[in-house]
Amino acid sequence: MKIPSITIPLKIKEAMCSPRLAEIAENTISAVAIETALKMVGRPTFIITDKKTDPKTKKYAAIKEFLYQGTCLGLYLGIVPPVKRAINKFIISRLSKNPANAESIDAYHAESKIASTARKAYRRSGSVIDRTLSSLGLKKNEVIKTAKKELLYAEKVLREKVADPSNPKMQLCKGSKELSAIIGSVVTLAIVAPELSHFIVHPMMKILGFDKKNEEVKSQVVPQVSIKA
Amino acid sequence: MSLRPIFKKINLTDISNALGAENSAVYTVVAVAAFKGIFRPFFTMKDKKQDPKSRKYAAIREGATEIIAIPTYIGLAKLTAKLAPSLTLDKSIKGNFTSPNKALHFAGVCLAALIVIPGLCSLAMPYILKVFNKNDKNKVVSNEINPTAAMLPMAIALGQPVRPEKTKLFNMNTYGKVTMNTGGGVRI
Repeated sequence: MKIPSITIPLKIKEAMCSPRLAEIAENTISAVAIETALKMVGRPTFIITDKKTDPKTKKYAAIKEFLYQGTCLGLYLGIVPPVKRAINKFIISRLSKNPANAESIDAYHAESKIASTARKAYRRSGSVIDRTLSSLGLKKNEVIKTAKKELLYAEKVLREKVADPSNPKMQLCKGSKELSAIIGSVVTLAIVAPELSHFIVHPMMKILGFDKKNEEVKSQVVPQVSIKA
Repeated sequence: MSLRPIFKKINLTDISNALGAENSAVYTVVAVAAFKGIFRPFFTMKDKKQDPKSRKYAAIREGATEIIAIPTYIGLAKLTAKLAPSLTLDKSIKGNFTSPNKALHFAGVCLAALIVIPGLCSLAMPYILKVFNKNDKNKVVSNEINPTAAMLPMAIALGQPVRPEKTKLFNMNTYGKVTMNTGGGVRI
């Protein structure tokens, strides 16, 4: 199926082609977190707009869904980073058994170490400059601003070098990181979160008074039904 | 059955290299949806605190949602990727830019999660539940065969207050569960 070419504003084109957005889209954790946040909005909205269901039931189901997705998001962001690290450690240990992989693993570790040192240096230097200037009662001049920009640029270049998918030496470890994030996401969202959410969503629904209301609704239904009959 | 032979067949080097060269948000969301489609109905059916009927409905609903989600994610990601030629920037524009393919794939996933999947589920779910409900239709307690409901017209005619017995009220409470099955308190 061919989609006819449409004239799209330059700003949108630039945003869609930005490397930052590509980085977010490629990063498993950020992509899944955004997707879960959208589910948190989309699903309750569709439940609320359903005209066939009873309004009280609708409200109950929508709030329960909102809380469930919110709990999943919170649990996901809390659990996935350590789970990912543990899985990645295991995958790297399996990969390093193959001597052909050793070179790229070493190269990746060396590059990522340089990048993390640069990141730390940038953060520290920024705060040191700010503190020194404020203690001397001076304002930031152009030289300092440019120096900070240069440091930021260097940090960015080093970070991108590690995350560069076209660099074959970086591909293996970057891929193992993404694979561990995918496995971690599946374990967290498909197994851990649904089970743990029971202990969070039900008490929250009770606090919000929804479980009581639901019981009242049920008890009210009985006489209404019998009179109609 | 041991899982070791299966794990031995998986080539971690190739998978890692492929994901390192090109990773898409679609892979993760499809993997999550596939496993959710298996595990969520399984856990729901295992939950013995819930009424068996509600359990069955919830499990069908959860499984059907994920079955709908998988092709929607793949299809929408492919469809949005077709917009790439219209979004590609001219070479004359200077700056640090990449191909819009990855962003478009991600946009497709976001669109599916926000609008398309909930919309498709709300459209398809009544029909899916109807199919699974066919066998249970005769088991639902109707007002006609409910003894308390049958007693009412006679009692009204006699001008007597209706005081149904506790056991009869219990029978009528099954009507309340019907409203539960149509969406109340059931995760999707």
